[in-house]
Amino acid sequence: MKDLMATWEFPPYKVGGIASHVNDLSLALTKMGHEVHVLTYGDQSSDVEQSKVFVHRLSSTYAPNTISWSMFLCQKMEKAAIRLHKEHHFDVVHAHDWMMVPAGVGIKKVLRLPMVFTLHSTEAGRSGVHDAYTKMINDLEWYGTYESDQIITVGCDFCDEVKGLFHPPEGKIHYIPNGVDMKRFEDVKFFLDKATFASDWEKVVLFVGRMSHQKGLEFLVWAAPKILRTHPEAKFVVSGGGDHSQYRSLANQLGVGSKFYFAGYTPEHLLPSLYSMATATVAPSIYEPFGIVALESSAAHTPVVGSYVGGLKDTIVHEYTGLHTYPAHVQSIIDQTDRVLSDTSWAKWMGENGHSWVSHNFTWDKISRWTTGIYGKALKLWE
Amino acid sequence: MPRILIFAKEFNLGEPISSFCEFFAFRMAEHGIECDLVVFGGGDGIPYAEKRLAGALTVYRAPFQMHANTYFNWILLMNNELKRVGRRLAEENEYVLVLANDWTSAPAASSIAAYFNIPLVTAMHSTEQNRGFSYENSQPISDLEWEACYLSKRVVAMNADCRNSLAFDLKVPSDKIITVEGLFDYTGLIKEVARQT
Repeated sequence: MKDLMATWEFPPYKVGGIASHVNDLSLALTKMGHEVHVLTYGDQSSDVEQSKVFVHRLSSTYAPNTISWSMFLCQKMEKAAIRLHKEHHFDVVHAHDWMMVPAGVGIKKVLRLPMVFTLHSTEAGRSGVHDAYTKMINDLEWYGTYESDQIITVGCDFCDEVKGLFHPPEGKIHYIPNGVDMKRFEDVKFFLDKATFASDWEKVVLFVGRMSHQKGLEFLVWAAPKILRTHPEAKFVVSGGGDHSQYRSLANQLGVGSKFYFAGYTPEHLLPSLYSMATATVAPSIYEPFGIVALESSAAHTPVVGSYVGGLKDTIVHEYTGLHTYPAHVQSIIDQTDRVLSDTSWAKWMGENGHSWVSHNFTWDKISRWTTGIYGKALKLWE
Repeated sequence: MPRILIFAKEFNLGEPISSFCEFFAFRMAEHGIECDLVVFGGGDGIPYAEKRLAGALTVYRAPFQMHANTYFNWILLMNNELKRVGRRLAEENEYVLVLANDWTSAPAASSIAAYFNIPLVTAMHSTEQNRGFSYENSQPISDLEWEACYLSKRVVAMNADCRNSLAFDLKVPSDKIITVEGLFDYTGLIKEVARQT
């Protein structure tokens, strides 16, 4: 089968989780015998082969906002797809998130290909639909669900959210979780020096995520003073892109500034080492369609304390691979983090359980097989 | 009988691009060429397919119900529907030429022309530079105009101002530009069509 993926971000360009998702999925599909071509953004246009995946990068233009920017990029992608289709004869086009909807639909209409659309999150969940700009993004998400032949959502709860928002026909929408490349975590090649973040005697409490409200970092910062009262050995390490100044100043105001280390964005190859040096990972999200952090942490044998929201409901098994907290509930974060830090051997046991739980249920081999099944469903509609 | 596939944003009597399309089809009919025009619209009493000029021009309207936050975004989304209708027509007919009108229909016209290997000609009624380059999306619009001109075998300029802008702002080679002054002098354009047929 020949698949044409459309994603605005693809490694080494990485902002959110879509880049890794598409990369890992493409590699897994390639292993299954698919020929995968990825249309994506690049500073300069190029066609290269990356680990048997054909990556076609296209530049965009100056535009006043992300919607116009992606619209322009999409129409360039469509032209590239027409050129490539003449040589490769694709079977399916797979668009990822709202930014790629115009490309997916355009390619579908010109090349008459079945279209699969993966929603990784929604604007309603990320920031709410409150003006013309956010409504346009929301409308593009709807347009993607309307025009596509099959829809994939990355979370079970999130699948229900999309059903409620866009009302697609029942048989058209599916839940396929994200996955983790276990090799990255079992065969760690790059190691971080713990001394960079914390002293020998300190236990690292890790946060990984973008500096955005939906990730709920402020609740962890609010919880820190009470956690430190019972566990002065805790050291909070915050990793993720974006402006962390507000969280840093909140930590300073609460008198725990010295107990926080803001590491900024951690490159993909260093993440396994970062997770493995932590005693626990805390994911205090208030909105999380999937929550790859919980899987990555489990893959690195580190238990997760995460909100009972969205995908985290499925990726953490309470008191087996980690602990659930009430969403946006500071006392709940304090209590559960205290439990993990107080009983290190229990925490290790949960970390081991997490590792086997993830390696049995969230591998890309399984996910690529499920995705191939969805491609098959989309193809059948065109027979 | 040779046919030409035209793309335009809309077809409303009196609107300049619509008038150009009709007049162009009229002149082509004199040379035994029929035209199909794909535009946005249809429904609410407006026909999806309409024959004009005694059958020399057939107007196909593609409905599109979605709103957008800017004109630029709406045009690019609406073009997907022009592509859908254009693809169907190109499968049913053998076209000798695809004619785009302005950036508002160029994305659809250039895609269909590229997919079916049909020569593309773009009629530029004005450029974004002519219009003042004062809109928030002027840069991407200008880039779309540049791309349409780049992909076209020939570019039709509707007046001297447009010709100058094509030559100096969009750097279109002067031998690629055909100027059609005031909708009357079609000699260059007809020659180009004859060459393609």
